[in-house]
Amino acid sequence: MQQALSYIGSVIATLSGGLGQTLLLFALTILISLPLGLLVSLGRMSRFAAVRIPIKLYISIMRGTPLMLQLLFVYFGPFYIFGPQFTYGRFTAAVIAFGLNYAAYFAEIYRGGIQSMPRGQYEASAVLGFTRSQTFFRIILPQVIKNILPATTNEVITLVKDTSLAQVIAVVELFRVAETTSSAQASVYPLIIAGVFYYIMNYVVAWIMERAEKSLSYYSA
Amino acid sequence: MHVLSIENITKSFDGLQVLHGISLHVDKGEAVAVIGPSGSGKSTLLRCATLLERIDTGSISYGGEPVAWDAPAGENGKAAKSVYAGKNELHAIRRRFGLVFQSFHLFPHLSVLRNLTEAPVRVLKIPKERAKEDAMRLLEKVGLSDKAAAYPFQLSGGQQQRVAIARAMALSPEILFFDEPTSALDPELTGEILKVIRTLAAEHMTMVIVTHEMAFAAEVADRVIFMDEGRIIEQGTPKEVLEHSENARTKAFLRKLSDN
Repeated sequence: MQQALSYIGSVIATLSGGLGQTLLLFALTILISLPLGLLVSLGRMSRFAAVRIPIKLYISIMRGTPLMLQLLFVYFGPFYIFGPQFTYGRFTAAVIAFGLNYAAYFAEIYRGGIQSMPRGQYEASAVLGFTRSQTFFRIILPQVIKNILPATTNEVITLVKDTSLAQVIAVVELFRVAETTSSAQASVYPLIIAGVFYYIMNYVVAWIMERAEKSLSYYSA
Repeated sequence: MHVLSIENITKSFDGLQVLHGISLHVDKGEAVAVIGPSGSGKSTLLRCATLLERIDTGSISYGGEPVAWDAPAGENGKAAKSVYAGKNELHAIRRRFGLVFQSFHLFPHLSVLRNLTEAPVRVLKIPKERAKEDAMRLLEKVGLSDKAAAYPFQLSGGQQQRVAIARAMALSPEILFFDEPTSALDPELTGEILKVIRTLAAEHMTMVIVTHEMAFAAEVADRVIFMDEGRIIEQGTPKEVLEHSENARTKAFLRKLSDN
């Protein structure tokens, strides 16, 4: 019993090393993709085709190809295309690939939220003399955020699990550590414990998002 | 100087002409009711006057400040689209009027008080405290001072519309437009809106009210305008138009209303 506990304790200690990278990758991706996604969604709805069409294509590629392939492309692409001086760290590559990929998904969530706002809200704002940016940031966006929160939660939870894909470009994150430990020790426990880690992270995400939803439930449209 | 001058405006949607050369002048302190069957262009007229739609030809001005005017005729002799004032001029002119919508369009995420103070604070840069005091006075006027902290969804339709009227008044407009202010309400709630509008009329607020409610036209208006098929058919005092009209179309419309 004592032995089993100290074994599990040592596995947890080992995995915690990877956990830090996973959390950092997750946090940076959120930090980049949430605001970038808003910009992308605005570009996607632009009345200028020169903006709208390339962005539509970008979203379509991000959603239409595997994230694992995108990771490999971002990491190895510049190296193969432009030569060895164009290279950067694995972790940086992962952050770029995740940020771009998730921005595309978030953009479509924002777009759905923005386009479902009733026209009357824009018209009332216009007649009251609000500028376009005042209308967007003070009237439209606060309501959009409330409406898109459930869909965003889904995406964020997926991201927690997707960070495990970064191991294809050898980022030493939770999943990779669990996998190597598991095969080195010929034990299933590292995988189980990694699973528990992911589960706890998503439990926290769901809890935070639920709190956010509650704090916005003071009104209904 | 008229508060509002509309001169010979036309408007089409996808080739369907909705306004056929409408002219309308509103003087300070005047209450004008616009009546007519649905599809007669009354709402479009209001939307053009409040810059929510752009006119094709004709001109609009507020207190002599031009909003849009006729362009010189094009090479083929056809009238070109009316020219609009610049963005900044239009922004300034928007302060001169207020609009009350059929379905209120209150901001659901803001309290009743914030619905009233947001535009004065953000647009007119009035200090928050003063905007709040002004808003409370307006809420008192529409009988809702106890609802300042409530959110729109907690109010009845009639209360929401009264908040919307107060919100429009919060910018101290020179002229207030109403686009069928009671059409989205249960019939028993029209009374409270009428009461508010009557109060405004007693204070000589300049108003243009598009309505199906003949009581509005009869009781509040100094002038009634009957529109049909994008044209003004006749206008006059409520008595002239609602009781002694000689016009066949006006009479047919009024008969239909009283039948219902």
